[in-house]
Amino acid sequence: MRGHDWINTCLPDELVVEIFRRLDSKRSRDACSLVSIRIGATGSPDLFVHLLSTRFSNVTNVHIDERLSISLPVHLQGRRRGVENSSASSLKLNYLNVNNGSEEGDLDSLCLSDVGLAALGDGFPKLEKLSLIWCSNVTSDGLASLAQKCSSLKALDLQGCYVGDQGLSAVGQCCKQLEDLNLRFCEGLTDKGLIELALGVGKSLKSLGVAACAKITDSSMEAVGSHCISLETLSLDSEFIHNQGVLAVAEGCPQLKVLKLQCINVTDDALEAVGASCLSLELLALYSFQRFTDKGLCAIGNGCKKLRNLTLSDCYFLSDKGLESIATGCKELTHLEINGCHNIGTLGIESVGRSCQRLTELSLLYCQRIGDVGLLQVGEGCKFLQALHLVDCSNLGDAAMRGIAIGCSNLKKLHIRRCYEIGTKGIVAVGEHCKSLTDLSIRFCDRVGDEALIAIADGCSLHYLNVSGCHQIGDAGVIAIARGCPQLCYLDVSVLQNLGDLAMAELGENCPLLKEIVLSHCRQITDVGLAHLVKRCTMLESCHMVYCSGITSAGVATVVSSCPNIKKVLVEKWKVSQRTKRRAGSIISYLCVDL
Amino acid sequence: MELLCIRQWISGLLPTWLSAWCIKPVGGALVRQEPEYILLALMGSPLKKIMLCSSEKEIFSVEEQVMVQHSVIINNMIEDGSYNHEESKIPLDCVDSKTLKKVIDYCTHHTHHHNDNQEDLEAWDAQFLNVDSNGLYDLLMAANYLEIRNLLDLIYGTIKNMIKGKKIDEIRRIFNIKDHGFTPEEEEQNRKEYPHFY
Repeated sequence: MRGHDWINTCLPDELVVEIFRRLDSKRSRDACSLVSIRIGATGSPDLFVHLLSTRFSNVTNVHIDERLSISLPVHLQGRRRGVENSSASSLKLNYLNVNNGSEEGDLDSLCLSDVGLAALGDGFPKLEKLSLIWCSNVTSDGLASLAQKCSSLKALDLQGCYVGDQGLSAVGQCCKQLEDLNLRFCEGLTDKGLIELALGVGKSLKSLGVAACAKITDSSMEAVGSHCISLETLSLDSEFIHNQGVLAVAEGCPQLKVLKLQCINVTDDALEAVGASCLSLELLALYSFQRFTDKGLCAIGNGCKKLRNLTLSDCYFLSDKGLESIATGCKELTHLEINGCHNIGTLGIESVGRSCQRLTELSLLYCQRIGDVGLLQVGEGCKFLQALHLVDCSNLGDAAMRGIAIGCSNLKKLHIRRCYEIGTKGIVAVGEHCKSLTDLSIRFCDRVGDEALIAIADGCSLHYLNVSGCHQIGDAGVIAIARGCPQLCYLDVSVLQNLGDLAMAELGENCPLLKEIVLSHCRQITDVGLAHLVKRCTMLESCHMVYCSGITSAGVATVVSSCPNIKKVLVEKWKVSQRTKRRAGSIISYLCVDL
Repeated sequence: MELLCIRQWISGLLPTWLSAWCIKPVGGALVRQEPEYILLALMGSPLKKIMLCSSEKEIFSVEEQVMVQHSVIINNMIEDGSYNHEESKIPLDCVDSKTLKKVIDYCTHHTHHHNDNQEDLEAWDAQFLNVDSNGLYDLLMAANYLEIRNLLDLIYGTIKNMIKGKKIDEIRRIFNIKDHGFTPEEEEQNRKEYPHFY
């Protein structure tokens, strides 16, 4: 029998990695990386980066993420020889970080190192955006070498890397066009590095994000306030930053437009300073158990008249009074999100409905104290509302839905989850009045039945529908949707025990644009229905079908072979035959069952 | 007793100390096992057979205990109830008859001879893996699919020995790699930079 090159062409990436892991000398691994480009790319990022830089010289964006599993960039698979400089400008590499500790041998060459980063700098001198996500082998030296070569760098994103202060200083000295810096889980960075960077690129820096970096404190923020006069966006997630730091930025950066704070040690004093100094503020987001009270929020309402976007998440001490002062003070408000603020109730929402006439998006998450009257007022006052998100608002019922439907005729997106008082009547009202609705999600609302979907199908042309967990819905409702919404491209009908093959056939007949479908936990759907669906829905890219006892490996094979554009299939491993695996390659994701 | 009755009976009555015993080695890893399976074993049906069906539709009958001890996939299938002893066979569309027979041989030998001394086992393994490159690939894919860790480790060990210390030209020859994917310029550059590898 003639020999067959299986290691290069047929062996899946994970198994190539397994072979590399067992090569316990660096020499063996280096040699193996040169055997073929596919093996080298899978096992040796440094070498691969060097190669990429010679093949693609116009790259401006590079994103390297070592958390995810291996996937060779599609356009590099099966490359023929003699390829000229590609016009690709953006490269995204995902590498599996295999430093699991207990393995034999030295595994460092399986992750990107300083050598690789320096090669990146050499190869892509026009680099503008660089993201290094959990590249645990990269240090200051690598970043410094890259900084010296890439003076056009505009955006740098470091997450989970052990880069130290010298690296950041080097960036400050060499990359004078830096506009965007994001630091997350950078345990090696201290105030020194960030202060030197602020000194170096203060004039150009527009956006700064610092999260989970324990050694960065108020001193850095003071430097930012002193030097970064163009700063427009600041995002802080740290318990080591106090009022002093936020005050320094508020007073020093008058062009601040976006402020996001998740700092448990910051209090009303900081908000008062923001209200007094940041008159250009357009977006404010306060997250997680902050100590802010109505006093701080009133200061914002009084001062930041240009505020358009407000997010209040888990701010327990804020009440209707604070929200009222925002509503009356910030008339330009277009986006409002209230998440888990248990002291905000109907009165606060009523004042928003009365005063914020430009509101386009409203999200109320875990707001059990808000009642129908609040949303009725929003329906009357916010005529331009386009998107409404409601999660776990157990006091909202059909009357609220009706009020919104009648008043907000421009509604495009409605997402409801676990609002158990909302039923068929409310959704029927939406179908009758919201003619512009394209995106509807009603999840786990068990009072919603088929008539609701029939009314929606009649009145709206949906692109996106999710009715997961609304177990009263069956074939009748989904068939109506299939017939009434030919533009449908995303459908989630998971956990619907009464849904069967008839609905699948109807979808195949009437919704040719369908791209993604979720059928998990639908016991009555079989291979027959699935076949009818995929025969006509040729644009299908994603199919989730776990826990479907009526679907067998034949059905899975049909999906993979009938859909030329299929990119993701989620199914149990034992339902996938070898032929299907060969055909489908890396698009199949398996359900992992923990024992 | 029917299997269903056993499950119902056990879920009501089984004391927690017995649940702690429900851990057994499968393919080299420790895996929790449903208590009624232990009970079936205790009731004396260790020779229960299951049917495995190759991609060529040939049916192989093998002791359930043997496969369940080595293959995580088959163990899962039997545990989550999707395998019915009376009616069904387990379709293994990924594995051809020749390879399946070899895999069954491996699992059977290792179950029945697990008390043998280390050298004898290693000698048997070496003889077992005395196959050509294609055969090795088929075994690797089958072991990966069925998740038989001992066999996987063995095969990887063999591949490692085929690579270790060899020059790249030789490795390419052994694995029949004709199109390595580097451009002529890149290949030349590699040979210049790392001449001792070639």
